[in-house]
Amino acid sequence: MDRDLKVILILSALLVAAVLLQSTLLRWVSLKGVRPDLALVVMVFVAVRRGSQSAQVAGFLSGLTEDLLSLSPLGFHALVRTTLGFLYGLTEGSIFMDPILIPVLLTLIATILKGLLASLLVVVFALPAPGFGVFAGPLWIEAGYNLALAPFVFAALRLIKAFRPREKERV
Amino acid sequence: MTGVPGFFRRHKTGVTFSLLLLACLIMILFSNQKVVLRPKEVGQSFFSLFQLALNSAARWFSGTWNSIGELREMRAELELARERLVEYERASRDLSELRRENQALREQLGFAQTLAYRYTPAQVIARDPGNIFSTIVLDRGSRHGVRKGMPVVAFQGGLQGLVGRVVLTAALTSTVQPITDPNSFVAARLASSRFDGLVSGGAGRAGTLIMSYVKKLALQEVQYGELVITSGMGQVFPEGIHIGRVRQMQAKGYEASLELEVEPIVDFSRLEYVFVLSYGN
Repeated sequence: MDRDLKVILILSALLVAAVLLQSTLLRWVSLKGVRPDLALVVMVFVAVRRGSQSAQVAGFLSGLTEDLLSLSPLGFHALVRTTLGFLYGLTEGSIFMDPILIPVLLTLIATILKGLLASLLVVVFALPAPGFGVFAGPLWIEAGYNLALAPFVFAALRLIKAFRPREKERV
Repeated sequence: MTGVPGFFRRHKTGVTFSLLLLACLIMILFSNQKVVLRPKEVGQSFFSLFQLALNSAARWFSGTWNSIGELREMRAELELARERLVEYERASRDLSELRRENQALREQLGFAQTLAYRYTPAQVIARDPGNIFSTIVLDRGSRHGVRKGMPVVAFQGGLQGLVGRVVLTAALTSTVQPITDPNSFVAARLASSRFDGLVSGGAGRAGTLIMSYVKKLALQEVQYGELVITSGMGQVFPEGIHIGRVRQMQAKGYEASLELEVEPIVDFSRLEYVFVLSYGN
């Protein structure tokens, strides 16, 4: 099987599982109703290691799953995750990944970008959602959760052979 | 390779990205106008199986772990319940007397008989995976008689509080739009001062409610902490269900009505069991 296709399949399965976890088990650790975005952390790691193609397709599929389980219009989360997968994939091979600082930094930027993109969509399509109101509180709780998770998730994902970078270990 | 195929091969990532983006935008446009509804139902039916399985596994583990402590608590509660039962038996005698009296008075006033509701118990098995929209998924679906539009309530702190309305039903699960959603609207009434209004989710602050279109006249009579209940108008929600308590009042000079901030009776963060209401049998 083509390695890129293999990455897309494994990543899609992981992201869909993460979305399902977010809606079920992770609600027990929610703070003020806010849960961590495990799928985002996983996608950021793979996008930086394997590039845009795998990340954007898997992001699209996991976003679509999220849309099916949410009251959001179909395509809302898919668009946000596809765009983030594409953007982060552009950095493939140009970032040296240390165990803590870079994962935390990449995840923080991804969470803020996700908030911006989602709010923009809410405003443009006049959707019934808080929009930029998420920056008043929920987004920062989510960011805190994601940052705390990032080093552990990145460390675990490094063990998956399919997610190894195209050239040696330099990513 | 030259021409169009060559261009696609050279810019595979960019072309894929553009196509996916276009697909997303088309879906949002259609979905937002409520044209696409079936894919969501089919999708929810499929993924709800995983949600049910994950939720059951988690509950089994936590249930086994907590069962010992619960047994001790239950013994104490049993004693308490026995004492209460004696009190309730006494109250029940008084109640039947009051009911007879109430019936007689209602007949005299010519009131119609109150519609009896059937309560279908359900468990919350999942929430919205993200933090922007709010969704509650229940373990009862169309197979259990749950239909779109049915009101959902919960008992918390000794009060029956309004949770929301069923907006989507799959075979085994249903999706509830909570009253805290900015797109949810409930015809409401202030319990003591009897002013009517419309309660919707606070778009700016998640988890709060806004009661709008309340007559400015109410400013003199509304009390902080006053109960807000459903008015029964619009016939979506039955009359008299508790919604929340008045927390803040806003009276802008240029507006003809008041805006009240209402704190929901139901604590949505610890919501586990609910009841879906349906008319009679």
